[in-house]
Amino acid sequence: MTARPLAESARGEAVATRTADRTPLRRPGALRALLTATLPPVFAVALALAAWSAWIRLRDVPEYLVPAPEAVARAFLDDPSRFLDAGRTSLVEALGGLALGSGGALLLAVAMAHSRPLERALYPLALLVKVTPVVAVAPLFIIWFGFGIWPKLLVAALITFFPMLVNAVTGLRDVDPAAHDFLRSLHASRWQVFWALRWPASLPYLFAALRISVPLALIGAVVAEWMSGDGGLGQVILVANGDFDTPALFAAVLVLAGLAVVLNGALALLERKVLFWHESSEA
Amino acid sequence: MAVSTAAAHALALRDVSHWYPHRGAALQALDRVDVTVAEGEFVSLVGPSGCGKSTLLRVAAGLLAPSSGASTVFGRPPREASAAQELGLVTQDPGLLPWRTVAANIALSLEVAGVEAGSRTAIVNNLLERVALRDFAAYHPGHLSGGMRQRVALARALAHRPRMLLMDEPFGALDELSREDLRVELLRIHERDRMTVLFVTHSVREAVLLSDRVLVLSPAPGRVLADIAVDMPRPRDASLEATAPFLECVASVRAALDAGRRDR
Repeated sequence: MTARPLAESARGEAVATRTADRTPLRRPGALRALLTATLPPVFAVALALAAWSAWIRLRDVPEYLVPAPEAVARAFLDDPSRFLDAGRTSLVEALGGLALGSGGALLLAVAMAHSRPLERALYPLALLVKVTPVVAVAPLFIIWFGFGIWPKLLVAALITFFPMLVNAVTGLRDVDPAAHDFLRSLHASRWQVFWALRWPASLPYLFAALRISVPLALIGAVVAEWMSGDGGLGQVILVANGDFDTPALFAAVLVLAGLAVVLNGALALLERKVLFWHESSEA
Repeated sequence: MAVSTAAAHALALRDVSHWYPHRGAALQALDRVDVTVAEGEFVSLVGPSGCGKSTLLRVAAGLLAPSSGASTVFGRPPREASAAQELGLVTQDPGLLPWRTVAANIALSLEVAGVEAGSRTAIVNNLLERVALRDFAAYHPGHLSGGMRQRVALARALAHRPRMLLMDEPFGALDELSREDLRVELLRIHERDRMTVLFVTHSVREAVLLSDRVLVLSPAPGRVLADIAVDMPRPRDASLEATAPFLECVASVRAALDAGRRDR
């Protein structure tokens, strides 16, 4: 039968791709990949810091307007726990809000993906949530829910809601029609189609939404803290602003940026594990 | 033919017409089609592209309700036959789940059919053997060739032991060598299990090699122009393609296709 040589050659190819990422040869490759991934941003940041520092010195810019990087570092090292504790508070609020907003959006998206009338009915409301300026509702949330963690969670949830909703509805609908036909030919139930097909097919979209939402959640938490002034990086920024302590303000913003970078990296790692089958993870 | 005999047929389409909505108008895909397929029979549908072959197969699979006419599969509505897991569907795009391994893809139909996890493994292993993919059980579809993916699709469609296979140009996107291999494998599978097969193709030679009967459809809207019996013994293999009866049969299918195009 002619099937043999064909299968052989196909096997040869498949084995070749497999050994490429299994053998010990991988190590230097991985190190190189790590370097090519980290060197450009490190280099860019170093260059930006040098330019920043040089500009301050050359133009003799006063510190309360724009502090030099050294001044920012000094402000941070004077009292690291002030920034790190605030950072932890903001992180918890942002992640809590993200879970609340994305989780709620996901549940709603599952319903909307299964029903066009429901989607049409709820979409304008979702848009209303989207266009509501966070700075306008944050003070209201504080009035309604007090100075605890709830207003921060809700503001973070509010701005992460829409990206997840739109992506999840699209992702849950974007199924391979041939796979869907096959399941339908077996009379698979809605739930069987959901778990076997819709849910895994939507994961690339859900990760894309999370990538957008992680920084948004941090901004939401900080804006709410800034309004209520009772803890978190938002409060540090508020106080530093009042004191004309611009180095501390910059330090707080950089801690916030650091949180965003770390969360983004963790998300990228998780994404590569979960979406091993998707084009986006092939590089 | 009397209505009571419908139950004896694996598939019976009676006076089936279908229109697709198209820019506010209706585009007719099928025009009063009558098709019957006996249990265990292998029937091919050939016709020019866009003649409604796939529409007809989707009606048979219960994926599409025709605008008019009636269809029964094993004497009942197609949806009931699919609820009883009596249908196995293979399409040109294999529609595998890229996040599942080959073995897990084949197990999909067993999961949907409610076969308990313990007995799935043995069934899947047996199928892997039959489609010559034993060494690839742990691979993901992204690492397979087109021909191998189509074998997985075939194994998946056979896993729940359907009484009827519905195949919509299953080998249409493959290279010639893979097509030849898969044809022979399909012949083996059909000759062993004797399930009913409805097979859509636009390859006349493929239709003649595989089928007991070839139905020739007209250009759109599709009508059945000719019903040509292929009287050649089984088991068959690719060597049949060089014989005189095979070539005669191919010639008569071609003649029917050409007549359909001329009458247009």
